[in-house]
Amino acid sequence: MHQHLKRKRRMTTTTYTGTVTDSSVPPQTFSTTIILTSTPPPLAMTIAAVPQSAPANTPRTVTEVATGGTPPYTYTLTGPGVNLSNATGVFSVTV
Amino acid sequence: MTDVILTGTVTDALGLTASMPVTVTSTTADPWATLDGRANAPTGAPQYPTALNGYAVRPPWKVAGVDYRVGINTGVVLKPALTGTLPSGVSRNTTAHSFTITGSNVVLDSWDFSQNGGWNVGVTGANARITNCKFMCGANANPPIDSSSSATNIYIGYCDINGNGQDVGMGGLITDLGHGFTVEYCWIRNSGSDMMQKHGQGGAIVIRYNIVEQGGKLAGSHGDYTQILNGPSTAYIYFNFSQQTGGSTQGFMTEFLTEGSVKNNTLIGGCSYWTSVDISSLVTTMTMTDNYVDATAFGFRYPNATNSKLIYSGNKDLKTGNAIPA
Repeated sequence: MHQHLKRKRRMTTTTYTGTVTDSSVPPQTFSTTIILTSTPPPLAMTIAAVPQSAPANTPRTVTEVATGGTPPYTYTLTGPGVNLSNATGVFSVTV
Repeated sequence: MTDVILTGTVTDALGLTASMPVTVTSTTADPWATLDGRANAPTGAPQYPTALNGYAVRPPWKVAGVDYRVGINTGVVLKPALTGTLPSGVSRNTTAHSFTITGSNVVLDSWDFSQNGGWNVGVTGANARITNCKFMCGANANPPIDSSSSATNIYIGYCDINGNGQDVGMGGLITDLGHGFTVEYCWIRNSGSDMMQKHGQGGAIVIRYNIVEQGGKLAGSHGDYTQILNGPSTAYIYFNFSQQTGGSTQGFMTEFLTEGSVKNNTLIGGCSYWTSVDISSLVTTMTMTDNYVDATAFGFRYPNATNSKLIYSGNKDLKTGNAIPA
């Protein structure tokens, strides 16, 4: 099994500001900011063909499932005489 | 087998991609799977699974009785011929031990005709179907199945027809005086004389996916697996298994045919001739091809003649794998 990932995961950042106020008159306040950075889990996929083994010219269902990355996904399936694309990851091919 | 590699790729909203291959295997389809009868055979063990052991070659297809079972379907509960409730279009004579199918399109299914000294089923109607029935000749000397000249297109399937070496008169275990019949997935055996006879009226004869074995068991008999008289008839005899030890019989005799074929049969043992042809009756051709034969008596065919209406090819000697000369 081979897997190829283009490692250019984009970071997302979220800024939080905290403020504290005391009870003096006039009250005094202090604020500070923290920036949290997150990256999505790496994009990965599985693929399976059913039936995997069958007589020639049998219809097969090939199912791709993505995990990680940033949805939505676009799926493609390529091979000899096969060049398909959709958003579901479920392909019907006759091999 | 052939492997084809397909590659799946997923692309997410940010343009990241991941790819993975999957291997799809294409097996070679068995060209005999839809031809040799296995697809509609009864479940259960074949009768003679070792019958072809020890030969130099064997047929490439699945052989009736060797690779798949023939006869009554497994699990069928047989009705007693003496007391079972008759379907419409059938009458019963309990003295003569006979049924008569007088109606059209009657299905006579799952009956035990082997008790009480053996029963006869006679057909006078059209398109009768006799299925999953057990016959065994006995003291009544009844032929298992016969028909009158008014019968048409009799179908006999998934039956066990045992002649038990009995004398049932001039006819065979199956005797058609009507207009053609089909026999398939039957186990036909131990005839005193002939197995199947066709008289007059003509029509199409189809005999396929059967065990036809051990004919001419009555002392002094001159049996035939098929005897076809007074056509014009056509006959197509294929994917049967036959074996013969002892007895005195010929095999698939095909006289009085306008055309026909004897193909893909597996024939073992001592028929005087396994096949014969009456060239003078042929209008088109008789094709005898791709039979696998272990002939221990006179041989595979009679006459040993060359004629443009006779096509012999692909027949093989089971013992050597060599072609039987055309």
